[in-house]
Amino acid sequence: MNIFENINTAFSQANIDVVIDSEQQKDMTRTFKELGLDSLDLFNFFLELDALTGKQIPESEFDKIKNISDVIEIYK
Amino acid sequence: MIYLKAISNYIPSQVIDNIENAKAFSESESFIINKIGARQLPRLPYDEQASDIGSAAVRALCDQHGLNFEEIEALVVITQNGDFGGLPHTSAIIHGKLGLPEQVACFDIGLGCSGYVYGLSILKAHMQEMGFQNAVLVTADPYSKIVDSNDRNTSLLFGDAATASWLSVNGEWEIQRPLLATNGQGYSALVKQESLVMDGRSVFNFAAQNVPDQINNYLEKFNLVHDDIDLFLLHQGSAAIIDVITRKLNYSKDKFIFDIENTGNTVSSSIPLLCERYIKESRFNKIVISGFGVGLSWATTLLSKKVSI
Repeated sequence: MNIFENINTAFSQANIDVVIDSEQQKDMTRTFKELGLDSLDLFNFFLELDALTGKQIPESEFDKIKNISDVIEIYK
Repeated sequence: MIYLKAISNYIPSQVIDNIENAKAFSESESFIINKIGARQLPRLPYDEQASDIGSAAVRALCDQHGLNFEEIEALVVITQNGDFGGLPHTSAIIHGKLGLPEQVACFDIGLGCSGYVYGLSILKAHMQEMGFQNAVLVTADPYSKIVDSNDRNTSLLFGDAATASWLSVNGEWEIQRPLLATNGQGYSALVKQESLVMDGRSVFNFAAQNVPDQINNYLEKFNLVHDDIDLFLLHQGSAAIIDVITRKLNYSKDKFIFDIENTGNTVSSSIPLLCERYIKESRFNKIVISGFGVGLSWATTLLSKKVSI
């Protein structure tokens, strides 16, 4: 799967009602808060994304991720 | 055979309104209800200690279930926040406050959220070694003593409570052999420094990645399938943690209880608070209990009702 498929699969597996459209720039730059995600949603999302990609981002990087664009940058 | 015969609790009447509490951190009521799960958090009065709520739980156990102080042969307390920083052991202080006989073995077990599962196993083994007939396992770990009210990660989560469980050679619920595990390399996820410091993401990931596997391994090891089990009573860490473990296990959701609305996460008391309610119901015969948290430590066992011939 490409990164967008992984992101949307992670949202789905985490029971989070968010779908990212790779064609929509605003989806890339809206903050997680603007997407309606709280801290525990993010724990769930990254748990699933880490499992899908086989990559766990270190704690030092986690707080720097504010939006989907940051996710793509880190997980590419 | 050693049985879990009865459980009683003591929950302080003083509470914090967690919805109000959350406003200071700009958290919504929806977040508190749906992701944490606690509307209110009980708080020990400032001048009370673990021994006070522990003693109250033991008195409740004796009053409600007819256990006489003279019958108690061992008193074990699960706590990491005992009186005087744990010296002397809180079980000795409770022994003194209750006026128990001298020939009572008292010791503390320094575990948190996995403590009740470990504690049942340890006390059962101790009773069998010593030939004891009746003993009491207390959980009393008041995190209000160590939580910084300005820390968003912890001040919305933990409530104070104590329980007392009667273990006896007479009873209905057999305590089966547990699976016990530790990841000491993850210890820094929950540490008491000046106050409690919790890395929420690490704790969340630890629970999601380890607890479902241990429960599945437990069932396989003891030749059980999830359909054999009536209830899964997990440590009540938060709504979010129970959700993710339930999701990963993918068993029938009806078998998973979540209720911390009036208590919050009470650490080692969370499992016995639920057990107290459900072991009284005749329709349940097999209950899996699983505790996980500080250490990092996790433990799972089965409570199974004695088969009547």
